[in-house]
Amino acid sequence: MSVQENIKRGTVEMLLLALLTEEDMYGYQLCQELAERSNAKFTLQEGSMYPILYRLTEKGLVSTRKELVGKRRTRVYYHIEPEGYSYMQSLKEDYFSIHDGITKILGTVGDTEYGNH
Amino acid sequence: MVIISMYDRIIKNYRKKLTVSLPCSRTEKESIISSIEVNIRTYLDENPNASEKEIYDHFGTPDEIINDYLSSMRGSELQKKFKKKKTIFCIVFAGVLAVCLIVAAIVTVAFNHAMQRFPKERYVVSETTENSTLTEDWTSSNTIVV
Repeated sequence: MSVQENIKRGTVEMLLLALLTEEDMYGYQLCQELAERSNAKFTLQEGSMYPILYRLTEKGLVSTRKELVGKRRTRVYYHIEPEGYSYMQSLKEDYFSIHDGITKILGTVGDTEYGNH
Repeated sequence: MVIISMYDRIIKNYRKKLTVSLPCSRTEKESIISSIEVNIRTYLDENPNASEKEIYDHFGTPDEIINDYLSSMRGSELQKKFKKKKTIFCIVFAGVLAVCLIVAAIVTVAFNHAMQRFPKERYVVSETTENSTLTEDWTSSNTIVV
């Protein structure tokens, strides 16, 4: 599995929660927002998102509500709960902390040219 | 009509594969599958000309969903699942073994019971000739008394 894939898997929960802090969204909308805001660098297949949303809902971090759209279509909107917001903040702190560490390591070794040791 | 049959085929495929391979509770599986089902219907309403490939590209194939699910599980969660499977296997194995032992015990008791009854029954065959009577006594020793 590539680094990109690993980072994606580790951050998807945090990103979904982060998007939901702005407004309640439905599945398709969440996928679209992820792709648009990351300039298509972070794409997630919709089917893979539902197990994550289910887990967030089960943990009480997110709640759902159904809305009828048109005559027969139903949309499930996801809403972030206060516990979800706190959890997202802790994930964000962890992420920035580890990101900072990685950047520092790469910043120091990146200056050395290969073979100059 | 084409869309409906394609939709049914796709849903059937998701339902079949996810039900078998997703390592989670029945409730969770049902919730995931019904979310996919509802959203594919919505997607087809919004994109009536979408092909089967486009749907799988957007939602992910069942195998991709299963892989993503497994890779998103933490080590402790995976360990817990395997431990649970191992426990279930041990319980089933112990159950089968217990049933086998009970059946073996019943068969042994029945066999012994039958063997105890058998020697007590005597079968006597008599034949009368001109000068003597020949009697065969079919006991365990099979002695012939003339």
